[in-house]
Amino acid sequence: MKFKKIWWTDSIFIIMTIASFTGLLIPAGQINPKFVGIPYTVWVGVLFCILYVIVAYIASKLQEEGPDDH
Amino acid sequence: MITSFIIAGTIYLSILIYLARRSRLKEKTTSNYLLAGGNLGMLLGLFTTAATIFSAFTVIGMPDFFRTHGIGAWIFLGVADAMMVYVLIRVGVIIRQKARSGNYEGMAGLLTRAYGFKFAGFVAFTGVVIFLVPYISVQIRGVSIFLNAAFPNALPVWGWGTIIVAIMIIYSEIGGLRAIMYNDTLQGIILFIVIWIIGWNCLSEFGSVAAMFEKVESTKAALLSVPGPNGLFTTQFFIISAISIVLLPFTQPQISTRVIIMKSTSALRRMAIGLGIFATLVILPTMFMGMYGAVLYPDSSVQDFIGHVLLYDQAPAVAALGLIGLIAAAISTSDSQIFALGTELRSLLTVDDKRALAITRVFILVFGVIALVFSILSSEQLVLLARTSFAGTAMLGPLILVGILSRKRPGLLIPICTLVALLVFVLSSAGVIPDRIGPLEIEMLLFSFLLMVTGIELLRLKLQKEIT
Repeated sequence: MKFKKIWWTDSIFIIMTIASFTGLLIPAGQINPKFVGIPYTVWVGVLFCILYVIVAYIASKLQEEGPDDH
Repeated sequence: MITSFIIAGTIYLSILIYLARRSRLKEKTTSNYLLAGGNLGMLLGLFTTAATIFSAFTVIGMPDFFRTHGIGAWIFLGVADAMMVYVLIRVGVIIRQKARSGNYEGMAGLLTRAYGFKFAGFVAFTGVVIFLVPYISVQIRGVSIFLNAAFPNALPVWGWGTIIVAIMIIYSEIGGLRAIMYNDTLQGIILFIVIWIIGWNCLSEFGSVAAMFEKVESTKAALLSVPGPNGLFTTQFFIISAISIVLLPFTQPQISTRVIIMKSTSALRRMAIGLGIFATLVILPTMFMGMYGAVLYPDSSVQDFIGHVLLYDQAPAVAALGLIGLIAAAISTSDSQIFALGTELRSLLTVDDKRALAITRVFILVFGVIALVFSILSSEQLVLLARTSFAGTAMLGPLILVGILSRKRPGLLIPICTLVALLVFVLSSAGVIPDRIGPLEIEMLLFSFLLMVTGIELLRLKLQKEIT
């Protein structure tokens, strides 16, 4: 069951990775919309970092236990 | 500041010596000396890996990268590091289990066994030597020049470099990888504290984050978006950097060794998550430092800017800590890299363990001396040289991943093509052949070439399976 569920996090990771190289994260020459005065690419970039770590955390929970985990 | 530096330096050195003595080994074997017993816990694993990844290029290079090229530097390193965490959890766990199922002594040796011929191991070893030695050298040089500038009458640049290399070699020789990892932990903590104190001070200059960006926008608005004022941050640049950084835990032996010797799968997973949080928290203050430099020192040289941000604009005690943090950052990465080169060499040797270890220890010293000599000759392009090192070792990715993950034994195709790709990349980096063909950069072409070769090899292995 866990094996099947982990494909969801893999899919999210792939979608986020593709999005990371598009105008969604790196629009050329665009500073706005700002978030509490922070330029667009910075706040969306920080948000992406947090999301990547959360997705990685979920994936780590969904993975099978290793032979050395007790 | 000299008094503060001497006090902080003495405390720092005393702790290094204490940790080296504590991890001193009476009987040295490959397992306890080169692989620290293969039983690394989560916290030690986190700090040693983080300190190994975040080098002098984080303290000197990243603030200057933000200052010169703008906020795209966050995507270059912050986002790519976060991607790396996911891949480390998904692929690293499998690689660790596969590597530990045999007698792991180093990546080159593992590949020799996986492919069934030594050539595969030699290609991996050649790749890491070519791309790690210049990276080690440029860090030693960066810190030595900086120390020379801070204390002009104390020692020449090569003198500081010699002291740094000597410290690394001495504690590596005494306690092996465990000593390095204890010292990395100390240095990782120092780096984290120092970079936040200085980053916070830079931010305080503006009053708030919003005010900082507002000031930068009025000074040079192009810094606040990609591709930045010099047009460096193109989509292609980000893709190449991300591939190079995501593959770091498998392609750079000082990191892959730490991944493999984690004591359990769950410890590795927790370490990876911790690494993602650590990376974000370490890169953030370098952005504050960079934006501070963009406003106050937009046209200064790297040396001048770093001198101000780390030393002259700080209180004496903070400046002394800044210097220690810089030394710690450089040492914690370079020692691991030099030691990893030794481990890789050991894994290729087929003589008995005692003799192999004796040869390895001599070569760790030799690699240290080579790095020192290179440091006297090398340039100062820290971030871009680090990126070249990451991209160069990333060319080993298909060789390593197919070799370890494939159920069937791969043939000569990938090792030969990897060697060709390394050669082309070296010639391109040296300016002998062009660094781009049409719109495509050489790294992108070589990654595509290796991806195609990997596809062909996997297809061949699949067909072979079906025939047999």
